[in-house]
Amino acid sequence: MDNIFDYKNFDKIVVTTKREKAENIIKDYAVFGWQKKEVSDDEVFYDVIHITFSRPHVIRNKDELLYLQVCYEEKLNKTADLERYKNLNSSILYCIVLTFCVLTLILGIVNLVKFSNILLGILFIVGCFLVGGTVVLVNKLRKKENGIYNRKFNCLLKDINDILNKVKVLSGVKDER
Amino acid sequence: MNGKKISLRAKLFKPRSHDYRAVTIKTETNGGGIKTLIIALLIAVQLGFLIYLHVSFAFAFKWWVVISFILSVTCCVFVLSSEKNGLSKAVWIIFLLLCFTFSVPIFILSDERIFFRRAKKKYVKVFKRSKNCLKDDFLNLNAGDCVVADCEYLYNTGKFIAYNGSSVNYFPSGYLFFEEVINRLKQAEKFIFIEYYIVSEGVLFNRIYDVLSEKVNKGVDVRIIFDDMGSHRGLTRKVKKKLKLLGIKIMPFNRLVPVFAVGLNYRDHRKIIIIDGKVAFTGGCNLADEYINEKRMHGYWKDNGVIVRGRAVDAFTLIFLRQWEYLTGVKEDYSLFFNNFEKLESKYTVVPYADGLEYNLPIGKGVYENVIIGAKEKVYIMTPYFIPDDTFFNLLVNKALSGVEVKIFIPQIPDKNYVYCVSRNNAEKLVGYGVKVFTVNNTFLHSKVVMSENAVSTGSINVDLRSFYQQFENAVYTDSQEFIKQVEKDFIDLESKSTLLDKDNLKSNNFFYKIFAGLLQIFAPLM
Repeated sequence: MDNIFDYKNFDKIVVTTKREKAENIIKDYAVFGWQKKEVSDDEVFYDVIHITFSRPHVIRNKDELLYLQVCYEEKLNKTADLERYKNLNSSILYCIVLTFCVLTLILGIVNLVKFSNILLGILFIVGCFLVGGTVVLVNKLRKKENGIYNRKFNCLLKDINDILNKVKVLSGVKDER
Repeated sequence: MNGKKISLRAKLFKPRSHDYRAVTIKTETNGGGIKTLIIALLIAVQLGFLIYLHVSFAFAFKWWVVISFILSVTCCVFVLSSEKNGLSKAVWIIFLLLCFTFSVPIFILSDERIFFRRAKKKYVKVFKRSKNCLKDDFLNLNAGDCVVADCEYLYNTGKFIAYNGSSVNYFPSGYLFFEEVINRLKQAEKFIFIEYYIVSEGVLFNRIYDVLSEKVNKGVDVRIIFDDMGSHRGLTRKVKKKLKLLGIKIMPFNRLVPVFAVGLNYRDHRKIIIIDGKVAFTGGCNLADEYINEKRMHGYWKDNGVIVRGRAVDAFTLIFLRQWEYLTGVKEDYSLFFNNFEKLESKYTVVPYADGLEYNLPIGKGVYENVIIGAKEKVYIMTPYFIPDDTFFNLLVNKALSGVEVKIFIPQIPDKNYVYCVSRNNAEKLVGYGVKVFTVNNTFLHSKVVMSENAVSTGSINVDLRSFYQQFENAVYTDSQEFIKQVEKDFIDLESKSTLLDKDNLKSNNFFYKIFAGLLQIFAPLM
């Protein structure tokens, strides 16, 4: 059937990843016994590549290695999730505050110029600056988010390292990271 | 890393990916999606046309509304007096009454006493012809009371013989299972019988195909039964033709046709391999790459398998040959395939059994319930889906409240989200009664095992209504203490990789989830 790949003696896997993460991925997968065979560019995105790995079909503790590999991939993808949503709350707040500031400023100017309502106009403009002051609070929130992100990220890194250490023992492969 | 920098051309003409995932395993998907879509559309059109006709008739002739209602109520009475399980009865009654203008013809078309009548007659003839093929001596069993009772149940419901002189061994993963299968296939000399719900092209199929092609050339009789719905995406016409040209006899079970018939829902879910009548295999695995984790679909795929040797192998051969005769209509001398087993000295009991519409009772469910009833210390269950009926559910509750340690393992990663929603909801209801429910982390658990300290039953039978009442299944029951220890070890290993559900981490704590799961329960008999 498939004459190109020696499916009797080897297993194959294709991993899709961002180009900048590829080097670490190759080293990590080597711990699981996977050897890089081929790297190809993605047809659509310039920063995505596909890495083909293979390893012998019969290896010791294969089931446990497969399970740990899934755990490792899940943790790795969680780090990407964390990075993506790191400052989500503060960014949303920033947008709301900015929008409010701009609206109140516009309303203030309109009231001053068009309706000659000086009191209302001044109130709006002062309000705009007060709201702008909440940017300081939003910055504090951002710092808090960064702290939470660092804590969670370090936990995940520790979990990933623990997994890779377990794998080293099971597979007997040397870690070249 | 690969020596290549990103070219300016690539940067200019290709966009940047916004996919945030660090790593994705690329898996090849099976084709056949378009065929499935076309068939589903055709069936939907037929169903829609049937409904439209009846509704139009009802609007055109007002007396038809009254007659439809009377007929619906009559059908409800039939449903209430039938042997369907409680949930199916409730669903049918709701459907019959709510949609009374068009529900009656759909009910009639789906009632197995009508659509399965001819097939049942055919099965009866096959069973009659093969009635005395195997000697039964279950009354001479050397086993505990509850095991003897279980064996008596199996004999009285399906004439399944309890064997001594047999051995069973457990494989806790699809990879280990199929390694042994391939080793044994290489030793085949006379016949190889394979019956699977899913037979799918891929590396596993290629490895087995290579062995089978070699064996067929040496004159070994190779036969494969596959379920047409289960295998329609994984087994292309080209490969089926290639198998036939090679001399391998293949038969589809219940062809997938674009005609509205509820009989389409009744599938051959069995997983059997028999080699020379010397060794038989069964378990949860199908013949596809995801079952040995060489294709990533839903996290880590946890499965299991069993190898049976000795006298009990003949029972598997009989199950296969009966199904083969039903499908082909060819009558042959079964005795040529029996009595090739290894003579083993074993005092333990092994009972291979099957379930399906050819039997009058839901045997698979009955065996599971008997195993649970006989338990005094522990009941452990592995199942990918948990959609039991009331009796099964209450049995587990009773056991847990009686001080028996009841543990149920379900997957954390589902293959079908809507089924998982119902399964998880059902499992979570047990938590309050002292049943320990575990979700296996990062895993799609596909094994089907029900065990107590006395006996184990494992095979193709899920703990769901489809397996209990609709599908053709098989499993093996044994009281072998060595086997029980192997299975228990698998449960212990699994527990270390699982999360125990408690009051705080239940999904059903969410009100909307509960409502959604409750609505999906209407479709539970079909799941």
